[in-house]
Amino acid sequence: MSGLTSVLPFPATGKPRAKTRVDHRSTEEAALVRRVQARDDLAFREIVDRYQAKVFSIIFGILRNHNDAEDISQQVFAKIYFSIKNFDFRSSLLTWIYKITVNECYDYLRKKRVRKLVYESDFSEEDSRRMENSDAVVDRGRPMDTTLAQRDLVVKLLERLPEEERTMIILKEVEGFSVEELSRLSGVNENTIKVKLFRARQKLLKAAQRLNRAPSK
Amino acid sequence: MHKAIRARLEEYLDDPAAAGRKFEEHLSGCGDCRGDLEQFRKQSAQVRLLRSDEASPVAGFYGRVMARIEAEARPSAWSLMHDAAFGWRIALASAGMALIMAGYMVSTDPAGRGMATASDMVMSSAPKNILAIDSGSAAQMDQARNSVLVTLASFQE
Repeated sequence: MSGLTSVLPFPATGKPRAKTRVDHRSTEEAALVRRVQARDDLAFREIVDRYQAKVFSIIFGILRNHNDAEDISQQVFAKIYFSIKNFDFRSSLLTWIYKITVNECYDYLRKKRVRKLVYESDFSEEDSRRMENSDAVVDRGRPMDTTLAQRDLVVKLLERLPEEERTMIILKEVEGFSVEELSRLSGVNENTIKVKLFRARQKLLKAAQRLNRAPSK
Repeated sequence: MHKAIRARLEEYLDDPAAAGRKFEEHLSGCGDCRGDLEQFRKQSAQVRLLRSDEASPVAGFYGRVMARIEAEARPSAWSLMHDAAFGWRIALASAGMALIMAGYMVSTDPAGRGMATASDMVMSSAPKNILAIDSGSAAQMDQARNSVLVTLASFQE
């Protein structure tokens, strides 16, 4: 993870202010990574077995569709396979995998939106207007499933966060990692993690306020 | 939001009881922090809606991943173009071909003549030449008319 230089002063919490960075080169996981880098297929299989459920559940949490979750999960592991030679042990393997996972989800959502725009551009102006209005009824009227609508909103709001903050919020809130665990995973001290999370939360609130203020069409 | 609350915000969101006595004391006397905290609590609950407990891929996932990797690793015609060495070879071959074609055209082309003919045609149809032709024929016509008039005037029976 980057951005170590942008550390804000954070009040003392009674705990030690900073922990020593974890050396991700000398863990059991690092040995596994080195085996994959040496093109050991058994080691890669171990990575897939170890992380497939976590990767799948994150993707499913964001996309809420089994087929899409399967497709993106495969894509994530294919990406891991091809780019693990560039893994530099600056964070844990898990953090790196999570980052790829969250990025793939948002890439997918971006592409899907572009496809939708292209598809809609084939319609006449009148058709587009009618469609837009019918969307508004579903979104702002009485949604069939409030939870689904709320999830959609969260996904959209998270999209407005920078990549690193988005991953961190998802790891903390969706995957349930504690600040201490995030610190261990990323090799960044706990106070920095808290500062990053706080900034991310503030941005999310602002994004939500902007969305509420935006005039409805 | 005050520092005392910000510092323990994550602990509070994980478990309100774990935030500590100082946190509670500050909160009981600070309406602003209470308001902010409530917003963060609601936000946290919303993001947690993305949690999914039951989701996992169906059996045979590793096999499907490997099939995908093999498919992506197979070089396509387009992926060859991304290979720098291959691209250079294609560029050099194209340049060589263009040189050979140019050499052939210059050395063997009856084109020398063809082209000259064409250029002559172009030159002859230049505006200046067209005017010259036109003015020449006009003079001839004048001359013919004059000779007819002279013949008529000098006609004697």
